[in-house]
Amino acid sequence: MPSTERVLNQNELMVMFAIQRRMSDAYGVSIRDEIESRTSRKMTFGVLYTILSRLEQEGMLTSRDGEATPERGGRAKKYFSITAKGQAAVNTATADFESMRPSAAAGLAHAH
Amino acid sequence: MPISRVFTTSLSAIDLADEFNKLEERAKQAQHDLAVMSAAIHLQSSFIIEAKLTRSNDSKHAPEPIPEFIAPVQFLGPIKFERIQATPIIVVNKPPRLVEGFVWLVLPRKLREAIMGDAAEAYTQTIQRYNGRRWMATLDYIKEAGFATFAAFRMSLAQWVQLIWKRSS
Repeated sequence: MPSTERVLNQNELMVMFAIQRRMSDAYGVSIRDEIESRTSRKMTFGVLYTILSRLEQEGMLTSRDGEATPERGGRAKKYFSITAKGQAAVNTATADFESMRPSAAAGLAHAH
Repeated sequence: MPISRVFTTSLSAIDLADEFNKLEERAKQAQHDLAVMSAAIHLQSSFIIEAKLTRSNDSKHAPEPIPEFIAPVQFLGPIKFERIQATPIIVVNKPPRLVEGFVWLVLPRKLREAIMGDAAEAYTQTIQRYNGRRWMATLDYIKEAGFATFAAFRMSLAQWVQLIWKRSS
């Protein structure tokens, strides 16, 4: 029976992984830098905050206000962390990707 | 003291040894000065702070001007460095006010603070990455502001559509 759970898309999964990696230091700039350094994908703040906002509304992320710094023009950082629901969604999406991915040998055979 | 004195034969053996020790002491001091100045230069490049080393004027010759150093450490030793309280100067590059003002107007209140703060931080990083080329950072900032505005508009539109759909059904 097909699952009714919300499935994370690739961009959302990358953002979630970046938040996991950054742990307590996951805010806009650090999440974007993490994705850019590991995947060479440039993500604009518009796309990033759309994803973060949507995931927060769905209860997969929580946010808290951090400290304001002079580099940010005196504006506070917004730190994000994954909830239990979010973690379950990440685990499901990762497992789905892994189960769909053919083995290396099968992939090569298909290519030829 | 001129070095040539060391080589005059009129000095006794004891005097010669004494002169040699003094020279050795001065060489060690010079080496220490060099190490301290290297550390100061390293800190200067790390923290982007103004550096000034001052030296007590206890020699006959006037000291050469050395850049001032404001550092979180106190340098002790025969050379008297001024102890100065550390106040690292943080380089802040502000994005253009006009663009910032426009972004402030169009972004939703909930995300305004976070997005504008991130964009300002990214602006400073971009300037440093492109070796101070402000126009490249400004272009980047405008691009970010544009995408953020578009994304905010889409989010608002989606919320309005959802609201209208709920009310009509």
